[in-house]
Amino acid sequence: MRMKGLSMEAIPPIHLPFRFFNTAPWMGVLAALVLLSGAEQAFSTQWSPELLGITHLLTLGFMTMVMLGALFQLVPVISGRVIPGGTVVATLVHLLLLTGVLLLVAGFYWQAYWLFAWALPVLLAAFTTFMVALGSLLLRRIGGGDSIFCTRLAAISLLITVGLGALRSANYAGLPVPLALANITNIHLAWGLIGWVLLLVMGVSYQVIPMFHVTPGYPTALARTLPAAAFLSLLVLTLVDNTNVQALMVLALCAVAVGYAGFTIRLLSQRKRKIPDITARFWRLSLICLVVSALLLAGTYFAGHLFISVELQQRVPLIIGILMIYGFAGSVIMGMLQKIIPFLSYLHLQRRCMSNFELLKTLPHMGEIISEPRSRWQFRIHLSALLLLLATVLTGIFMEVAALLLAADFAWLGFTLASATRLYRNTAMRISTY
Amino acid sequence: MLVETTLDARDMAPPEPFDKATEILRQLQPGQYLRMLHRRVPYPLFEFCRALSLAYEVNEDGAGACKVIIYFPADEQALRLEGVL
Repeated sequence: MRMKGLSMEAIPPIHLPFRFFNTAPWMGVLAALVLLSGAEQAFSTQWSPELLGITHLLTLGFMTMVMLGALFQLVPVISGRVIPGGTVVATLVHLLLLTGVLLLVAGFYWQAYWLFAWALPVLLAAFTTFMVALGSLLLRRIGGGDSIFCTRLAAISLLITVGLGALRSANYAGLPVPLALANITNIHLAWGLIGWVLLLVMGVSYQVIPMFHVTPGYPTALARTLPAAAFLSLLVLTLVDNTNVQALMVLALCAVAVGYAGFTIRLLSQRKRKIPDITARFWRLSLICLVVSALLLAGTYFAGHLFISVELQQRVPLIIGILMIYGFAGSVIMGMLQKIIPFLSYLHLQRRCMSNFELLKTLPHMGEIISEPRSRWQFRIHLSALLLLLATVLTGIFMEVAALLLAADFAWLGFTLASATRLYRNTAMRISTY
Repeated sequence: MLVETTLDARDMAPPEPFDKATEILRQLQPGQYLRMLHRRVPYPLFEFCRALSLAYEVNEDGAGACKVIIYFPADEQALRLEGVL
């Protein structure tokens, strides 16, 4: 294929993704504070209001906040097209998402479910605005190959997750629900964690693993089959009310997760440059959590009653939740941010030097924007918090220490991102004075 | 006879390909061109090329390999005659 005239003009200004990235860690800190304040009740059951508040702070406030910010940057870069509405849409989505999450979590935390009547339209407005802007792009024939294929499926999954969540919260708020769906919460969870999060992580990994870690690429057959199989399994799981079929679909989802994780770990072991890399370590931790979650789910779904006590069986959903949300998605996001923030800063600063190339030499290198020791500490704190959280669920002790470590993990990330943003801003100002 | 400089960036992690390419391009003289081998289309580099009034052509082979030729517009005819473009 021959091409001419491609440009970087599609890239939105850096303050758009940075706004999302700089907000997200503080939602994680808030989740830790909720855990600290309601330590006794939070892990009593997977449906405790405190835990639902924490879950939504992590999934919407942290994960989705970063993922939407990243999509505002990533889709234009890999497709070469601008997201319509650019700055206005991103500003609106950021504000609506932040407000909606805080209202939703306040509703859970204080069990003031009338707040859902406010949270619901605000969150729906956030996702509708985002989907209209992104959807108009994803519906067209654009570049980006396997990544865009995955992003399309993830975007549809997000719509379904939000729709199911809206039905559930309308029910909480006492509003009439037009559709009766059995087991709606579990299906909402499955679409959110597998359809939205796993598929989007897959799509992003197809780009960033070969690029940042200099590994072979994902073969297209695998890169398309895995997300398509996951998406179809989720559809069947939602629509077919048959125990055997549902068991088969659970097995298929677990196989996709294990297959994807196994292949990606293999790719990471084929890195051309085997230098120590914190992001690669975060990736491995994240993929191990994904495999353990899948094996635990399959094991307890098919043979849980044979091997473990009833009490332990009740804790398994909590363990899978921690492994999927904090262990898988949390780790991969934290690891990626250690690379993406310096890369984006460097990329945007380079563009500011086009009128004076001598300034290129004065730019901070990627390793200076987020230093290696700082990233290494992030990994240590994150791993400690993860292990302690899992121990807490199993033993019921160390809850406060786990909550404090969780707060430290997100606060460390928040300060790291804030200092990288400050360095970017100061350098950009210095360049503009020449 | 045009003079070629080759940069094989296939095993480089960002931002090394950009840094190495811009270093070469800033020294480039008429009659010289850069052949860059990369694993993806190096979009950021094209803005730099335009700022230096250089032309470029990208060839993707569909298997994840990409060849970029960056040259002075005045050399385009000669490059075609030599079969580089």
